[in-house]
Amino acid sequence: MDDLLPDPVQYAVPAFIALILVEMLIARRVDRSRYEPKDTLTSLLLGTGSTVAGALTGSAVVALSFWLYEYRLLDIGYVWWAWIVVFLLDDLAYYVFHRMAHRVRWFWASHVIHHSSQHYNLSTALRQTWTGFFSLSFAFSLPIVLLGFPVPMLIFASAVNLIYQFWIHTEAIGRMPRWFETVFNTPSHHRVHHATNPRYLDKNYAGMLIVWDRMFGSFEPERDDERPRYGIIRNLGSFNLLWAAFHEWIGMAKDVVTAPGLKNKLAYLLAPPGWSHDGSRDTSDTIKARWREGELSSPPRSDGEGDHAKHGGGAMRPG
Amino acid sequence: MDWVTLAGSLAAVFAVAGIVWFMGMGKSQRIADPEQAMALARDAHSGFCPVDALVDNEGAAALVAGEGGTVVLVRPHGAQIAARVFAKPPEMELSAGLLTIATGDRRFGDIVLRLGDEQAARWPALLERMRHG
Repeated sequence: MDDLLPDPVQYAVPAFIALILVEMLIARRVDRSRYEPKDTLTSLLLGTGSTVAGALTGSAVVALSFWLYEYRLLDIGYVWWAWIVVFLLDDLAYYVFHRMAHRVRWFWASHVIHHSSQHYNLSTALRQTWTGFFSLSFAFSLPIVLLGFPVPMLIFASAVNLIYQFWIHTEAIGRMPRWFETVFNTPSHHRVHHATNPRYLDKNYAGMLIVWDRMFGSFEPERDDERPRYGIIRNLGSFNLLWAAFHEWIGMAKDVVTAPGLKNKLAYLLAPPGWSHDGSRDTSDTIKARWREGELSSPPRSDGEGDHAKHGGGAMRPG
Repeated sequence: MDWVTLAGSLAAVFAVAGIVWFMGMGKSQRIADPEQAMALARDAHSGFCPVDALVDNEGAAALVAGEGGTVVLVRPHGAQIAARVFAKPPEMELSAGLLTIATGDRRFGDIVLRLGDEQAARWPALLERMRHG
C-alpha cells in the first residue's frame, strides 16, 4: 500500500476554531441570534462524532480504494497535470454525490444531519454525518480511482475540498468579487443551498466550483430581497444529539416497515425525501410547485416572496 | 484518532459552546402577536393561507388555523422558530384558559397555550372553523 500524503484537515482544525471565535465576535456585534449555545454544542459534537466514525471506517474505504486501484484503466501517476485534473474530478464527483444526497432519501438520511441546524455559521460546517460509510457515500469517488489517479492524491484533493467548504458557512461575508462568485462556491451561494425558502430548495450543490451548478442547471443566486431561512422542511425542534444523527434513518425504517408492497418500500429508500405512497407529504418538488402557483396567482411583490417575508424571524421579540 | 485526541476535541467543543453561552448569544425568542404567528406559519409551510391565530400570553407558542382546515403550530426553538403542520386539526383541549395541543411528536412536545379571556372566547368559533375548513 502506498504511503498516504499528510492529512491537511489535521492542520486546519486550529484555524477552524480560531475562525469560529472571530465569527462569534462579529455576530455579537451584528446579530446575537446567529449563534445559539445548544445549537453550537450539537453541531460540534456531531462533528466530533463524525471524526470518530471516519476514524473507524476510513481505513476500510482506503483499503477498498487501493484494491480497486489494482484494476485501473490508466497509469497516471503523480504527473503535474494529474493534480489539476484530480481536483476537478473530485469536485465533480462531490457535486454528483451532493445532488444525489438531496434527491435520494437513502443518501439524504446521512446528509440531513448537516442541514439540521436552523443556524448558518461556521459551527454548522462541522455538523457532519456519522453514517456516511453506511450510506456508501464514498462510492461516488471510486470511478476516479478506477481511472488511474493515485489513491493518496485523491484523498488529498478530497481533504482540500472539505477544508474549502468550511469558510463558506457564514453570514459574516456578503459577496465576494464578481469573478470569484462566477467560478467558485461562496458564502452567498451556499446560504442558498442551506435555505428552505421554496425558491432556494435543492439548489447550489457545489463543493468548490459553482460552475457545476451553472452547467447542470441547479444554480440559484442569492437575492437581496429574499433572506434565506435555514434548516430543513420539518425542523427538528430539538437539540438532542442522537435524534439529530439518526432521525431520518429511523423515519425511513418505519416507513419501509409499514409501507404496503415492495415497490412502495423501495421508493421510501430511493425516492426523493418527503415522498410518500399516499401523497400526504411534501417533497421539494411539490413545495416548489405550490410556491410557483402562489407566485403566479399573486400580484408582483417587491420582497420576492410576499408580504409575509417582511414579518420573518427577525421580527420576534427577545425573551 | 487516539483517546487523548478525542478527549482534547471534546474539551475544545465544550469550551467553544461555553464561550457562546458566556457571550450571551442566541437569546430565546417570543412570538409577539397573531400577525407574526401567521407570518411565521406561512414561512414554515409554503402555500399556507392563515385565517386566524391564537398566541400564548407569554409568546411561547402559537396555533395558526389556515384555509382548508390546515393547522400550523409554531414555537421558539432556541433563537429560531420550529413548526409542525397538520392537514387536519390535531387533538386539542381547552381547560381553565389553557389550550393543550397534542402534536404526536415526543421531541417537539405537546403545546400548551396560556390564553387570556379574549382569546379563550374566540376558541369555539376558531375550532369550528378549523374542523370545517
